[in-house]
Amino acid sequence: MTYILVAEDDPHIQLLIQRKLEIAGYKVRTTNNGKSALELALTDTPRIVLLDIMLPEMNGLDVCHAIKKQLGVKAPPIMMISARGSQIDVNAAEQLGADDYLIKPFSLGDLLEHVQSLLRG
Amino acid sequence: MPDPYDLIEQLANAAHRIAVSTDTTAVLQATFDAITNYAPQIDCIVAAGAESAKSDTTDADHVIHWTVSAVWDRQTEPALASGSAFDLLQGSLLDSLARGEPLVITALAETTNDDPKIDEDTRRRLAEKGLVSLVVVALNVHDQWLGLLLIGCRQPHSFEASEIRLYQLLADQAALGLVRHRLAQNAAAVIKAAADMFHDVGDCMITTDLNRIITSFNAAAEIRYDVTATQMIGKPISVLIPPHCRAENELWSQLAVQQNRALRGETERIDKHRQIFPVYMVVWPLHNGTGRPVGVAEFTIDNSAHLHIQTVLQDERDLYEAILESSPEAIVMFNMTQQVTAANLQFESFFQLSRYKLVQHTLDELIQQIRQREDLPADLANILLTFVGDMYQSAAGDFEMLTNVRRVLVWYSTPVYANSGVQVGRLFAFRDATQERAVDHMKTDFVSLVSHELNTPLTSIRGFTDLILDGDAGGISGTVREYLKVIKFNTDRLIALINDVLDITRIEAGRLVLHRDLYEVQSLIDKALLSVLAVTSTHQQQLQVTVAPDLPLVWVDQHRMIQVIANLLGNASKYTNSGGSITVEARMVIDSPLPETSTVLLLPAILIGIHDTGIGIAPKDLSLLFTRFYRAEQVTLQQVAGTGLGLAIVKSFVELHGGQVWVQSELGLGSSFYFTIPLVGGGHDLHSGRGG
Repeated sequence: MTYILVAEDDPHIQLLIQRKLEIAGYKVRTTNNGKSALELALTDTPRIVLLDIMLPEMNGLDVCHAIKKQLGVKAPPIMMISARGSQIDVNAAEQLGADDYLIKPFSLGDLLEHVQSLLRG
Repeated sequence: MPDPYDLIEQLANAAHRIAVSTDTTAVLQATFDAITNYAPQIDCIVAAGAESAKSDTTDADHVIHWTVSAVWDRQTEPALASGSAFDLLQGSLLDSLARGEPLVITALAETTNDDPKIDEDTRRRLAEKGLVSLVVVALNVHDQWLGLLLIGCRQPHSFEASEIRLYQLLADQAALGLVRHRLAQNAAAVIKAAADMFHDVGDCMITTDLNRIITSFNAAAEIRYDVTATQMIGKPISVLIPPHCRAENELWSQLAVQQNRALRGETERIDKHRQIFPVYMVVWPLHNGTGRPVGVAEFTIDNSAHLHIQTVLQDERDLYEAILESSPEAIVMFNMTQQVTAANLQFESFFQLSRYKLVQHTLDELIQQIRQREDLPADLANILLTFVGDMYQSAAGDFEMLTNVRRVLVWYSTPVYANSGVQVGRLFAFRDATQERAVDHMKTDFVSLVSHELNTPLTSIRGFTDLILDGDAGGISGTVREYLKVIKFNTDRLIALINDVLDITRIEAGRLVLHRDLYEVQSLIDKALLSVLAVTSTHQQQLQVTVAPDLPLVWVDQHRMIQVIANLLGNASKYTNSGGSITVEARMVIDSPLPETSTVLLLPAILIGIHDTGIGIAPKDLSLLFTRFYRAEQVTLQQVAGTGLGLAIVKSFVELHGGQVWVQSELGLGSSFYFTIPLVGGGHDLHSGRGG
């Protein structure tokens, strides 16, 4: 079973994502802070990582950057999820190694589509 | 018996003294001295002035009225009396004297009233003075009768011929001296003639003697001071000078005489009505024939009008300066030779540069001053250098600066033209925009923050509604499903509104950046259609798309362009009744014909039109349709949902792409929205099939 790491500090959104992905048949692991997200990503080798940008302790963009930098080509695909949806924000995330960007509020259909597309590679 | 040679020498000396004396008094004094020296028996001598003698031409006998000019009397020796003390010769004298023959009376008492030699009045006066015998000789030079000398004794005395000849000789010498004096006076007459020349000039010409008594007064002066020359001649000139100017004027006239030169300057005069007026004055000395100063001439030009103009100009200058000074913008103005002609207080305060070290100085000097200061940004010098010589273009921009405080300065620069159309220089103005920039940032940050905070809960609301609708929480009844759909629909509206507000905020803050690439028009329209398809099908509206074949690719931000088309399609659907139709057309426009529009378009371009058979738009709403938060009247009446932001965003996005948007509509018949996407490179060699 594919394992997806979800780092989101809003408990309701975290639950929402978790529920939707589990219903779709994915295994999900959640965390609500950036530091543990980074640790899990480095030690647990998730299949993909969904990162909120505004995370406590460590900013989602920094987590993304650290994962990509430390794991290099072995790094999992990363999708940022953020309410900050301007083109500038999207570009910045791309620069730091993010593979996808989902803007809040998103529809569950969109979420699933993006995840599936990332998993396909 | 004295030595005859001594006598001759003495006589010669006396004659010389008489002849070289330069004025009347000295001539007569020397004459009297000589006579009393040689004739101790003489008690009284009277000289009668001929200068003021008047010939009464109505009288054939040359009746002449005399004025005594000097009297010597032994009883009052040595004083030389004058005036009326001995006015015996005011009467008439006889023909013999008129012919130059001496008049001799040896015994006054023996003359009778019939004696033709002397009249009764004169005889009586001479008798009152105790004179018994007398001789009268004429003062003649070349038949010019200057006057006469009366030499009298209080004892009976018979005048011998030799004695009379001596008197005549001395009288002749005296006459010579007097002529010399008269010549000098003629010089004054020449000066008077000069004054007369000024008589009719338009400005005031006044002459005075050395005692500053007025001797001439021209016509212009009569008018200006409102007095007549007759009234003024003989009066001190000080009556025409305001008291506070008198000392200065006196000094000028003295200097003019002492240094024998003309002086000029500004002073004041006062007229008969005590009106003081400013004058420009030239003052110079007047000389007689021998080069001696005899008076002063002053020529004055009324300066009132000139000073009035100066005052008006000064007032105007002061006004404009005050306006400049009170401007919150820092202003510096250069003339055509790149000199600083004006710099206001705010300029001084923004840049900490002293105005007084700037004005009249060149741009180069200013640039030097700026470069010496580390706290002034290089931008300031660069802006000035770049645009000061530009005759045509205005320019604007902003820069940051850290003098005593951190400032954002917005600047503009423009060539300045006078009313005549002549360029007079270039103006630079700097406005402190620190505050408004901070407010702008705050506003944008606030909107972003609020949007973000709204989006997080909305994500949950929408997501969980979806989860339930998807059946992930178990089966739900039809009513619950219906209600949940209402929640979902309104959540989506709220999300759309927030996104619109965010877009508008970004556009206003200039933060919206287009990410352009080449795309096919057809694909953009297709993607936009996806977003409205669900709605149009529920309303059973017909959708028709006509895209011209072989359209070139367009250079656009895909996301924004789809948003534009989707917005217009959404509106078309929203304002069209069920069963109506919506048409999308896309074609290339190289030049006219275009659907009616007043805007100037960049061509060639792709024209996209979205037509509907909806409710239409009233003419009065058309012009305001693309304004933020504006909603047409019948739309609000019919309670169609909307924020009034959609078309404002459409307009902004279209214009960011260099295109134009406009609308044609008729109430009840439908609307047509058009917009253009200008083609890069004129639209050639950019045909579809190359990707996008």
